[in-house]
Amino acid sequence: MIVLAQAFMIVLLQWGLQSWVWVMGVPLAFGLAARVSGLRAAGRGAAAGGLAWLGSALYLYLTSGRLVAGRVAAMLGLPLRSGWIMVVVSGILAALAAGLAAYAGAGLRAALAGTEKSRS
Amino acid sequence: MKRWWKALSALLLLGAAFWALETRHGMVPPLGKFLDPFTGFWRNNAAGDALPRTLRIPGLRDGVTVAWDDRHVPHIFAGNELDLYRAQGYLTARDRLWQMEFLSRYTGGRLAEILGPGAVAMDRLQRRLGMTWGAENFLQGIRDDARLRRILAAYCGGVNAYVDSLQPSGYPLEYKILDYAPGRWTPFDVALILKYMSWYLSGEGRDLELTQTRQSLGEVETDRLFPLQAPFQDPVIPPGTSWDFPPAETPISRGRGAPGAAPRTGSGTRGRPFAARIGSNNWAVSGSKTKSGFPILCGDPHLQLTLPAIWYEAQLAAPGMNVAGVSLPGTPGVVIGFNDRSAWSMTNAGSDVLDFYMMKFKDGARREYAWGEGWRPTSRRREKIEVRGGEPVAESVLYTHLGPVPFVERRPDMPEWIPAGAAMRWTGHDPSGILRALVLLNRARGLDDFHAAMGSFDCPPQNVAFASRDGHVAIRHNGRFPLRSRGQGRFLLDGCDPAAEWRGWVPMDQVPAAEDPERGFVSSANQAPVDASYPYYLGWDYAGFERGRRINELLGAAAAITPEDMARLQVDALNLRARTVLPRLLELLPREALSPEERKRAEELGGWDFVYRAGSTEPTVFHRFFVELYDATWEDELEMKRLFSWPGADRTVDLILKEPGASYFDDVTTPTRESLADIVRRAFSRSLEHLRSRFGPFGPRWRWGTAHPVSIRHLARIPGLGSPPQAVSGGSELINAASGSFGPSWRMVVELGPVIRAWGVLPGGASGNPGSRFYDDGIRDWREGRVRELVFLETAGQSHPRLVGRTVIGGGR
Repeated sequence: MIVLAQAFMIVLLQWGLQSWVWVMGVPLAFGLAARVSGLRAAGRGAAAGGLAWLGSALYLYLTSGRLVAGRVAAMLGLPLRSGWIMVVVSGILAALAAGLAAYAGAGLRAALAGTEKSRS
Repeated sequence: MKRWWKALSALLLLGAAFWALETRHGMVPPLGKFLDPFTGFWRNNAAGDALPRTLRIPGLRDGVTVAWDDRHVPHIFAGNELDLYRAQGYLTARDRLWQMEFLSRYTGGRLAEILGPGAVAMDRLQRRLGMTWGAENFLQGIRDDARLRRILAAYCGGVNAYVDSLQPSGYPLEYKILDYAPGRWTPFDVALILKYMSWYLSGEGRDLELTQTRQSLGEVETDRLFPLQAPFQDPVIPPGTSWDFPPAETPISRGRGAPGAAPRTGSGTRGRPFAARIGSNNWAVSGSKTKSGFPILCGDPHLQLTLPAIWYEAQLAAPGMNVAGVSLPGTPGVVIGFNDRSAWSMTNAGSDVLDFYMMKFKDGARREYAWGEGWRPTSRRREKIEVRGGEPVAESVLYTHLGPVPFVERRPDMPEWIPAGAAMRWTGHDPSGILRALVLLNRARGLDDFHAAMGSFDCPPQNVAFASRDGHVAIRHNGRFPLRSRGQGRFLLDGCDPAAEWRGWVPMDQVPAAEDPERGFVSSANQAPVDASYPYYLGWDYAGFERGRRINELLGAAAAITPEDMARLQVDALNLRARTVLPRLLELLPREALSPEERKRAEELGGWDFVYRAGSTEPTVFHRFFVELYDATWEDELEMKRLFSWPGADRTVDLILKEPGASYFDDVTTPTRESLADIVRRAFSRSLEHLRSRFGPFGPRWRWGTAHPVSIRHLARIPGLGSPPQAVSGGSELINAASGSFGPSWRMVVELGPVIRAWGVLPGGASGNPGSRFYDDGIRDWREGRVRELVFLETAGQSHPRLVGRTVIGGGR
């Protein structure tokens, strides 16, 4: 559920604010807020980011993006010049970026929590 | 503490990842932005092909209706002229914004701003060639032409209305790859695009190479190898045309160039003359030769092919004007096309409008240069090249009253053909009437309007063929040509001698021209414009005889011509050079001395019909055979620094046929004396060896279309955005001049009957978006030599089975 919520927020903010940074910003915020381990937060963030981008890219690929995806795959010198590979690459990149952001967020939360604990 | 270290490390890593994904690395786009499905490349998809029902362009007065045909070509109907150009600017930008901006940046020397330090040398050259100065002069020249200024303002306003409407997600793909944003479009950008075309078509010369050759061989021998009247030519203006005007006085020859030694270059020569290059065909056939009785005009300009397609097709209609054809993205109007009364097409004239003058500076400071009996001051133009990711580069370019001195000393990044220390006199630097000419031509209703428009058509010089619905055909070798003595300007000129300066112009009503000639057609293919009877000297370095002679041969023999015949003629692939020289070469091959494989290939050549079919192997063998023979004839002379410029392929054929004992056939690097037969034998063996080493044993890989495919690359050479290699039945000296990366950039056939009918094809498409299905949809038809009928509407509301949508454009603030 949290993964879906994150993915939904990523899509919403990226759509509305026209910036890619939300694929990192949203998982970072979720990582800061959720009381889960860094690895678990990273997993959720990665799943959410990957889902948001992979799903969107897949939709665009299937509706109107085959030509451009194929050309970009060729431009990047990817071994498979089918546009499909760009769907996967987009999804993986988003998952890595979002996972790293969520991990950093969780790490920061843990550090802040540790400081408060030692104060109390 | 450990937690903090862990958190900080993760945050640092996150920051580094963000930077890496937000930044372009070399030619790798910023992957975060680029792969983002919401703003990145995914948005440049085919959904952009959907046609809007309404649009808004601020500044429109009356509103515009656009009908779109099934090739995504806009047919723009406006209530007044300025609305029309404003809409043209908007719609061109909508399809081609990046292309036009890139060309303007290239010409104006502003590529380093977006590409980084690697583009500084390119920018430096453009600045030093005076391109920005030429563009400024252009604008200065139209300062008092209120109509043109309004047209330019309207067109630019349309482009900028589109730019203003863009969100980053809507930027054309190349902006996302190169990671920058589009800028504003101004009349200066329009001027730069026009300068780009002018330079491309008239901006090179062999003055330095020829001067070096003259120093080595002497003037007589140089003239023999590089004749002012090339062999086999069938000139543009039919021989025998009388020149019924009193010619203006031309300067008396005072020698044909600068005294003293020409500056040496590195290797001294550029590419062989028969390599693929620009060129074009056009012709117009009068009704006496056509089946319908109506004139037919055809044109196919040959340029370096790129994607997005060089031309943008459009129909432009407003009160008093209804024109269709191809426009140059970034500039208003139609360049090659037709209206409801007439049609026209252009080929490059090739006459010499660029001379180099060797300057003598007073001292190392170069503040003054010798001129006549005294000294004149130089001026300096400061150029600042902004560099992405680097410090700006300052350039100080020296100017004389003749023009810029691109390079005062030889440097490694300058083109070899530009002499160091020479001032450049080029008509492209002058104020120009080219835009006025196009505006008038677009409205031409008959011959008088055509001639009136041509009076302003100065640079680049073109052979403009014309036909009108009232039954006339005409052609003009048109441009602003300096009055010169015979041969003046083909060698470097003396920059101290006022007598060497251009002293006026060939009057525009005396340029070579023909109207309704007896033979029933006019034509041009970049060959010599006139025979020796024409009273002015215009140049010498024209295209070889092959295409021009072949066109005239076919048109001369044709009768009851149909538009289908003309479309077939445009892709004629018979090589006249092969037909002229190959039989003699085969006679010189001693069959008994050939290996079995060589004998087989020679026999195939003997039975060949000289047609360059993509699936045939004979063209590949002949092509290589001629290259080897040509090299065997001239390469030794070049290596020994006797020659500094490659003689023409036509002159080589001439020597083979008429002077077989010429000393040039001897390989001067060997102690023995070789005959023509010796080097023919050697060239044939070497050609087969070369083909075997390159394509393996004789087989399908030797087929012409496989061995020499035509490439249509992306304008910025971005991989993946070009087209795959195309197997074409064509070649550089054939009517279908598709070769290497050059070829017909537009083919057009227009029949001028009561109802105008036209056919055409682009090696690309209407859209500049690589994700659009209209990006390269014309390439298959182009390759196969097919043309499609063009939609030409009389009114905005006219129905047509090939219309796919309409857009109503309103104004507003």
